Amino acid sequence: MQTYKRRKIQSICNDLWDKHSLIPGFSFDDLLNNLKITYKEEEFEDDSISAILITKGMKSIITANASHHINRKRFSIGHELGHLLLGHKKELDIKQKERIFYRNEISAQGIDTDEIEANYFSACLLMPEDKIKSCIDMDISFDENIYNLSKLFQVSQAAMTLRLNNLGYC
Amino acid sequence: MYKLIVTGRIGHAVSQKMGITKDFGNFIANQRHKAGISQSNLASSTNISRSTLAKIEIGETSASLDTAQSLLNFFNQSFTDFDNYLRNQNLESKVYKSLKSKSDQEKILKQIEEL
Repeated sequence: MQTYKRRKIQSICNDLWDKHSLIPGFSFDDLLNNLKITYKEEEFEDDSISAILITKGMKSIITANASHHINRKRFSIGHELGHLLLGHKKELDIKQKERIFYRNEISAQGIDTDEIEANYFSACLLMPEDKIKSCIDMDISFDENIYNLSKLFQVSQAAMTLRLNNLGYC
Repeated sequence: MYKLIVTGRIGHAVSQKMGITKDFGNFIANQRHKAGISQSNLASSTNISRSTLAKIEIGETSASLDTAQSLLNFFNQSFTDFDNYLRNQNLESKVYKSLKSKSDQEKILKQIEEL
């Protein structure tokens, strides 16, 4: 992803944090409500579905898979919100497990930019760089930091590990 | 697509290519079925022949702008309503293509309807 695009996404996420007074591990309920986006949860027969975004005119609805872990739901909601706020022209977006593999496969070639951007948006929204930096404890191990930060920011340890790696922490 | 409909005769070569004629026919047929009236009744109420209406409904012929307007007026619908119908059709076909499970399709179609 190009640097200017990263900065743009970071800036949108920082604005959301400021404007909506978000805190680490914030609940999406109020944020989506403020943005006038309907949020629902459904038990899907196809468990590979993580979340669905439907946009009709000015109205949008994000539906997450009710049976998924709260941390996974949060990342999926962030992903769909990313599509919406980044202006990706999607009337219907379905975040599926299969698509994650597909996405990874083609991300190396840099083709499906919308998906890469939506994932980056979700990571920036749930784990902003400055907030992460201020919460890192240099006196404890990397693994302990992962454990503490993932609990604080309500994300999976895998997502936090990836985020810290991308921010240059190893 | 909306601009194309209001500025030209529904069923021009371009719109036919885009499938609008057939969509408009489906839209009118759906409205008529919902209202529970016959083609003859609708035709006489809108001053068009039954055979023309039949052809419009199956997308075999186009409706002039005046005829389209008369038909829409009869059902208290507007070109914007037809435009929304087209958008929904598009969304619905995407749902069918993207989701394998019938119950999942139904859940999402219900949400689209409610949105």
